[in-house]
Formats: sequence, C-alpha cells, structure tokens
Amino acid sequence: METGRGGAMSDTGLQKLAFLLLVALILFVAATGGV
Amino acid sequence: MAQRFGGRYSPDGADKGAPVPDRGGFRGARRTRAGGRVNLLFFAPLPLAVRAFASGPVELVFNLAALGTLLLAAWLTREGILAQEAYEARKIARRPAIPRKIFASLLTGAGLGLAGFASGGGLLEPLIYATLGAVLHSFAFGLDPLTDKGMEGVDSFQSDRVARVVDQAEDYLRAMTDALKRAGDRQAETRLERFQMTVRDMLRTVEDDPRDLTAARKYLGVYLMGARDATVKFADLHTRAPNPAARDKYLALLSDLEQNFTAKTRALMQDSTTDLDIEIDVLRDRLEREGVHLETKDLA
Repeated sequence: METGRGGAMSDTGLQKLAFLLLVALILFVAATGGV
Repeated sequence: MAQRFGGRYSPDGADKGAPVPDRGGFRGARRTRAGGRVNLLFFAPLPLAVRAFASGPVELVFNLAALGTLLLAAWLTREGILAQEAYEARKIARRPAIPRKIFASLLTGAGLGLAGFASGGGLLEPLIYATLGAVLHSFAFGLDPLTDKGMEGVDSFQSDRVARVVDQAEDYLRAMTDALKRAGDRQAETRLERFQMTVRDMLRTVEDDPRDLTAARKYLGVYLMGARDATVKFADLHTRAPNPAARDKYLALLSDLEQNFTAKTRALMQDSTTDLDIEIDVLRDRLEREGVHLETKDLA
C-alpha cells in the first residue's frame, strides 16, 4: 500500500482501499442479500 | 562561403521565420478519472437482478428498487467526477449546482439498505449496510467542490460575465466539433482541434484577468459564432457533395482565425506583463523608501 507525507497511508491509498471495500460490500449484499 | 551547420533539428539552429510548430491536439489533455473504477460500480449490483426473480413479489420489488438505486448512484458518481474535472480545469468556476457525488453516496447507502431489507426484513442490518456504504462511497470518491473558485477579490458581476462568456464560447467550440464529425474529414478535424486550442488559450487568459473581457468579447462572441456557422455550413456541404475548393477555403478561414486569436491573446498577455512591471516598480519604490535596498541581480 502506498504511504506518504509521514502518514500511515496516503490519501490515494485510503481512497483505493475504501473503493475496494465498497465494491466488495455491494457484491456481497447483492449476491447474498447480506445474510 | 562557409556556412554554419544548422537546421531545423540542430540545437540553436531554428531557422527564422519557420512556421509555428504544431503543438499537437493533446497539449494539456488529461486522462479522465471517470473510467474503469467507476464502471465497476455499474457491474457490482447486477446480481440483484438475478436474486429479484428467485423469490416472491415483495422481494422482487425491493431488489429491483435496490438495483435501480445503486445504478443511479453509479451514474451520479460518474457525472460528479466529470463535473469536478470541469471545475478543476477552470480558473474561475462556480460550484456544481447539484452536489452529485454527495447524492451518489446517499443513494448507494439507500440502495444497500433496500437490498439488505429485501432479504432479511429486519431493520438493524439494512441500517448498518446503508451507513457503511454511504461512508465508504464518500471516502472512495470524496465530496463535490462546495465553494466557488477564483472568485476572491473579483466582484461577482465581472466574474459572472466571464463565466457566461466562457460557457458560451465552449458551447460554440462543442457545436463546431459535432458539426465537423458529420463531415468525417479527419484532416479538417485535426485542424479544428488546433484552432480550438488557440481559443482555449484566450479563454484561460481572460479568466486570469477579467479586465481583458471587454477586449476579447468580440473574438469570443461574434467571431466564434461566425466560425461555428461556417463550420456547420461546410459540414453540410461536405456531407452532401465533397467540394475541394470549399474545403480549402474553410481550412484557410481556420488558419486566418487562428492567427488572429493568437495575436489577440498575445496582446492581452502583454497587458498583463505591463501590470506586473508596474507592481514590481511600485514595490521597489516602497522598499527603497523603507530603507531596504534591493540588489537588482537578486531579482534577475
């Protein structure tokens, strides 16, 4: 994961992680109904 | 008699009076971010369409509503990114009228909540999915620009006028591109792109200094409208019956216009340089008076 500016994770890294989690969440809820 | 070696491709060998090099249609172009990642958002909720038809009518309605909401959110996300890119490309810009990405975040939450409610029936799980989805979406895509840009210190009347003229000019440029696409003449399209770049240079100059608007108004209004009309007529003619003479005339018109626009932009920039010189002189005088002596070489 990218790091930068002394932080644990750069802005873009955080954005990418959030995006991946979002897609995973949508896929999970869409495929299983969330149960 | 001996002659120094040199030529077009030699260092310092640029021959005087050579035509202006072609700057290419991609100068300043940027890859749009409304691409791959956002497209995934359109595909991710598709399993809902299958699930919808695997159960009773109530679930069907909820699942289809969830699918529609998530697709709408994906579309709004893409529009929001495009709007933000347009905002970032300009020096003076109003904030987008509709905060599309914020709406998209809320709709993503709503869609996930609906999908969760359709199968579970409880309230807690859908609420968790909704909150999580909305928060993740806002982290992934950010919020819309919520403030006007480049309007500080400029009276809103002036900047409104500039924004209006720039919008109008962009409309003309778009209409020219659309018209020429019908003609299907690749060379003319490239030529038009070069002309449009020159016009956009002028637009950025006017945005930099709204006082230039009065001087540039005729160019960005009347001349550009004339160019658009000529382009539409040429495209019509070329589609019906290609006519080399008309095409040559049209290309010559574009060249003339480009030269005029370039000259005018240069004149406008010259004015700005004069302003800068005055600012520097005034500051220097002040510093002299305060007893601070500037070494001229420091500034050079």
